[in-house]
Amino acid sequence: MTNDQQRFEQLLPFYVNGTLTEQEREFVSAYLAKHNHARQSLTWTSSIQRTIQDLGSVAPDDQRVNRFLQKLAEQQQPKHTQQKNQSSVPSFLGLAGARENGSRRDWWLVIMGFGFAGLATLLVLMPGLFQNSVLHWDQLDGQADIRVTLAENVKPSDPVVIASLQRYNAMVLEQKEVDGRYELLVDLKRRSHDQHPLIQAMRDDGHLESYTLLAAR
Amino acid sequence: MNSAASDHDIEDWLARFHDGDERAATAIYRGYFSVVSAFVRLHVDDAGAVEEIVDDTFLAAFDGLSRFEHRSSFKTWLIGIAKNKSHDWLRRAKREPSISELDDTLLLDQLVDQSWPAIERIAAMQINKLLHFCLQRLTLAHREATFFVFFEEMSVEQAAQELCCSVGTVKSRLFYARLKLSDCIKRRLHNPQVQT
Repeated sequence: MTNDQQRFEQLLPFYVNGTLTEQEREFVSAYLAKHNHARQSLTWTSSIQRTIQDLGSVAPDDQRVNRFLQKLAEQQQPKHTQQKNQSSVPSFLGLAGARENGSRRDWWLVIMGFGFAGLATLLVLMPGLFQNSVLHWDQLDGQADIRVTLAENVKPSDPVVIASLQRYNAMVLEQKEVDGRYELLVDLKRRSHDQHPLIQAMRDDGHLESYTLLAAR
Repeated sequence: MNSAASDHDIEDWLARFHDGDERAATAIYRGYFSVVSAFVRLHVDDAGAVEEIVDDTFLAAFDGLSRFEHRSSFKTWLIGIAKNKSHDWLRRAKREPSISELDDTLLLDQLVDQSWPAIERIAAMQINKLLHFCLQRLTLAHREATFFVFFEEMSVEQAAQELCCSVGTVKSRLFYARLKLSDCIKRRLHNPQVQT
């Protein structure tokens, strides 16, 4: 390929799209006039441009535009609910009402925020309450919660003892006699809630000699 | 103001869109539909996917207008989004064909017939269809160069700036793009069953 031919081929696309300088355009025109093969290159390059221009010859009809606007509205709707007043969402998307209610919603968010913060503080500052009411809700898990030693001559089959155990949802896991006294391993359904009332009830009935809380162990 | 936005009045339309003018979204969509469609159709050969990608491009643009920093024209920014959307689709569809992975100069050496195709006797519609097929199989760099020069009618300097390369590179890419298209067309005309 000669230098002129190479220059011609490199300038040709810009000759076709009309962006050459006057001097360059004159060079291409002169080359075309002198060389027959150059005309084929021009025809070829022009057909490429025509094909590419045709790709953009479509215009959206009203139906297509409306379909797009619908998609746009759907896209902006959920986003807007999170963005509050400073949103760039245009009001024509039917969200003007939501925008007007923005400040009221802000206040609710602030109040809810303080509520959550207060609850968190309560749980941190009152671990006893938290533990007793929530953490120790252990169900009947087969683990002994209290070791109870009955008073002398009181048997586990004593109706009063059984009634107390039933009242406080307690289950006897194991019993043994040690030095003439019965020792019971008791599982409570709601340990933190019932262990002290059970002990108190058995003590009031005169059936309890001693006890040991096993949960802490 | 026209009902279709253009680079001359796009700032006004963007401001109107931000202020909630219903006509702004329509004007911007109508104004840039052609260029976005052409760009996407140059990459994607599935008509249904083209429509989806074009709309997704505009949706992404409207959604991220705050990220438009005016460092480029709105059209260039939009085409950048269309490019990403098209590539995502091609990646998902596992379609990224190209005429040749060979180095350009190697391709030139391998071509037995280096003349441009004689297309005068072939119906324009057939050539158009074949060329569209072959354009979609150019490498990305060649496709972009042909788009900016032949569709956007940019000068060589403008195209170089758009493609972030030298003037010489733009000229070279266009030459080899035309050569590859020529080879593709000749193969297809010789044997319509050939895929590239």
